[in-house]
Amino acid sequence: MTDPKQLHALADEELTPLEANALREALKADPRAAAEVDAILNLKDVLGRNSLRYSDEEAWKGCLRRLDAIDKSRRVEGFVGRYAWALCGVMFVFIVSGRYAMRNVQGDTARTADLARIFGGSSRPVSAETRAQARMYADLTHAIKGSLDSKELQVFPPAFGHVHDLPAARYPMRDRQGDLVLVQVDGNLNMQDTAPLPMNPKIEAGVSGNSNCLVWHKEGQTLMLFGDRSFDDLTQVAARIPGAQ
Amino acid sequence: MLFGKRDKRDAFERQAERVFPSVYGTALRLTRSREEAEDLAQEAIVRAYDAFDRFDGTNFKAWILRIVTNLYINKYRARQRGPQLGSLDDEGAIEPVSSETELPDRLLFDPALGAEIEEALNAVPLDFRMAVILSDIEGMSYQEIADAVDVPIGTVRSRLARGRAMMRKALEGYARREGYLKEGSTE
Repeated sequence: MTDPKQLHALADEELTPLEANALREALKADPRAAAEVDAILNLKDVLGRNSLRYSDEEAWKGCLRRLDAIDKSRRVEGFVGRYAWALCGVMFVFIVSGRYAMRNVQGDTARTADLARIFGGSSRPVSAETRAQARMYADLTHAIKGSLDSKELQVFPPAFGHVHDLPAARYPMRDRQGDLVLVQVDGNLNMQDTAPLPMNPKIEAGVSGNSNCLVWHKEGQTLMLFGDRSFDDLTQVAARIPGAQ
Repeated sequence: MLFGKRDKRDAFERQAERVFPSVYGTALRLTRSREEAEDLAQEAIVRAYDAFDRFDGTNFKAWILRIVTNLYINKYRARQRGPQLGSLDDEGAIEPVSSETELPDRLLFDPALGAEIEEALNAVPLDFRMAVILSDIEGMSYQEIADAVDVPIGTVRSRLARGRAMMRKALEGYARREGYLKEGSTE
């Protein structure tokens, strides 16, 4: 009896020429097996010729739409991959410039608390570290002795330290309304979240903790006046400090 | 293969469109559901497009039908409706069903048989049906079928022999009903 799987392999032309010839010889002596091969060939022929041919235009169009979507997403990914550094750069510049613009244009609330806190802990011997500090201290002393009435505004010996790596001096002050602090930073320090005073745009106003704060610049220095009082009162005090005008 | 993006798309589309009837037909014969067949065919086309760079350029139809069957086996088979006769022994006895006295099989069939063939195919358990579809309808070699369904060639031979035997029985019933085969004729 011939192996039925060999008969199928013969019909499917899956045998080597040698095997096929040997099997064909064997089939001459086995009519039943030969008929089986014919039947297999007939079935193959019938299936090949008569099975339905499916064609679905909509399904193919659906495929094309998906391929289009893939191409599109690849194009986007390619663009992003190629220009990611440029996009990041633009975004960075946008954020930095936006932040810079916001700082200089707006600023309703002061964030001077950090400065006050940093500087508040500073307590050093009374000696000026920079010429600007020495001059400022001399000016203040001169002002107190001259134009200022020491009963109206007292200036106490300063403490020296650094604010954002800039030399700074902290002058405790007192008048009838209470204590004040004048901070002098030897350098132009840009303050965040402050707004120019309407009557004097060179002076900016903000809030630090419970205190209001005025900030102005003079000859490469930053001056900050803190006090638990209104901006008008602070402005009046600032007007009496040399360099505030 | 090296393609420009547009060239790649064009080359793929040309080949895929040519074999799409086979892709869709195979998907339909496997899933027996038009909706699932559409999903399967589209998924296969998308997978093939993604992997087109890895196509060795020999037989696109066999390559994409392999994707169809793999996808079907991995994804759709679990949801397949109808009984699965997975316990049938692939290596079980295969007896010839012809005899010298039988009417030639060719007489059993005519060109209007398409629907009957599909119906007969549907009655064949999946593994055997897959072998018959890939071999006799799509013309794939044993090795290509073995690669597509991930079984040894020996298993392909067994499944093919069993599947064809089932097909012939199923179509014989039709022939008897239609009077092509007289009562009393034996296999």
